Amino acid sequence: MVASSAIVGLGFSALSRKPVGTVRSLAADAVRAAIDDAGLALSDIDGLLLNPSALAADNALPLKVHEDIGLRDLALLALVDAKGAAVVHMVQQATAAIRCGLATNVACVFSDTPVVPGKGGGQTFAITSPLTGIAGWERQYGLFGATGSYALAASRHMALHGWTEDDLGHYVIACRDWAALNPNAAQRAPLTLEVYRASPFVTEPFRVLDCAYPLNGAAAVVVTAAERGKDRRHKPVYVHGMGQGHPGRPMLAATPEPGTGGDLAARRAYAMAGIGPRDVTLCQFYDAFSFTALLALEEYGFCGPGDSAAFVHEGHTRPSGRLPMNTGGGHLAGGYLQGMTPLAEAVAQGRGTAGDRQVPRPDMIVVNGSGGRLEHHAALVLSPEQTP
Amino acid sequence: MTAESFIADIDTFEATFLDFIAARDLRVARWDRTGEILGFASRAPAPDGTRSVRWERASGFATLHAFTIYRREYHPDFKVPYNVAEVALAEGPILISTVIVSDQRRLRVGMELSAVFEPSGRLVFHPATSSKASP
Repeated sequence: MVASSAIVGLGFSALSRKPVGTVRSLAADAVRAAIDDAGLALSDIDGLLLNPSALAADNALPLKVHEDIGLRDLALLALVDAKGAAVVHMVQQATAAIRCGLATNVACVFSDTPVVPGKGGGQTFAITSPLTGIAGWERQYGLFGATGSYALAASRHMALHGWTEDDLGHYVIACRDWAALNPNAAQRAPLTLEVYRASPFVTEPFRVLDCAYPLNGAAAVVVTAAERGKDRRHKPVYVHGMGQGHPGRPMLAATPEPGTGGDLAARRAYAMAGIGPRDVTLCQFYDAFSFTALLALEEYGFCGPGDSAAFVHEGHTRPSGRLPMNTGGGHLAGGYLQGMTPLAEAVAQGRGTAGDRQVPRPDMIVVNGSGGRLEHHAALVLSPEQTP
Repeated sequence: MTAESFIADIDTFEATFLDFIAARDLRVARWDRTGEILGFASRAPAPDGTRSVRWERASGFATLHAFTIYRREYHPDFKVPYNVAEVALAEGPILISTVIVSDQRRLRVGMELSAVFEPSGRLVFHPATSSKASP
């Protein structure tokens, strides 16, 4: 397939575990940086899509942020809510808007400030998880935080397939191996299985090291029409495939095993790109927890059900492995920007600017996002070539 | 009486379930037309578009579908360690609950459970010790 859109700008605000600004000001910083990175002027941008964290305070990232940035006469302006899939949704919506002529150059930004003094990121994310939808039901059992609801999903998958805790650990170690090559990664110290095992449990089977490492900050990309991409400052990264999956089956319905929508999103994105899993050379998967990246390997067709743990243990996703994955360290070691971390790394790899961690063949890159409790899923197929 | 008929629209489904729970009566809902059991998180109508359900008394038998053991305290009302469980009722639906055990290491996915209402009215599950559950 010949791509019709491309990512041509990538920008960040300050990123830190300390206070560095408000959600709104950080978003503005990241958008300006992305526009500059694209070699565009503010006046070239006619679309802006905003993704605040699902847990951010109401109106933390208001539509009026476009005035802070200095964007005028926009043809497209919207908040995008799809939980952890929202960053991928933004690129998809930007592409659709460009294809239909609604906008020409669309900036997409995620911004969040989960780490505040005296309160870690884990506390910020520790709201009650409403899995049943029955008001107050989960609260009486203390089901706090995404760590708890995802630990339940992991517990089921691990039991069905005979995984041990070390099976999660091998993935965490692989992320650190990549992070060691990334000067911008938040956690770069190498890990051993012994260090992993010594990491305290949060919600079994998840240890601290199985959980994303929250950061305060924002990241943005600029999406434009493919034919405009060639004129930009950096090598464009083209959008070849897009897919979403929202199964619509309650996670606690009377069905044997929950579907996540990952297979739906993958199938649709592969079909649009005209490829299959064997054509993919690089994966950037949303890993709020170690388990979700392993599950994605299965959903996206790289492994059979339950086989992802062995696949990772065998080293296939590590540096020099045959399917590099989360090459910046992912959300666990690179830092948690809720979907922008994998997308930004895909752009860096596609451009060929990933330094020591640059993979030799970033020809066909899969990026995903998933949110809710594995209820909402979205995928992109990207390539540095307009016609691979 | 083991079954009562209701119209399960989005607004009344959970209220009906909670009314039964308040009366210490664990029920599952079954579509009148299709006979299919609804999940507790279900909000959609039956495949034929109807919304009439029968609320049937659950057997109280269940298996442990999934569990997590909290080791980090998130709220002073919940002292660690404690577990949160997905419990699959024998009738099919899955509920969030907890399994009362003296040692969290006893928990195993697939273990048999039985439903019990605590004096406070909270629905919990115990490892099954007899062939007759009595929620």
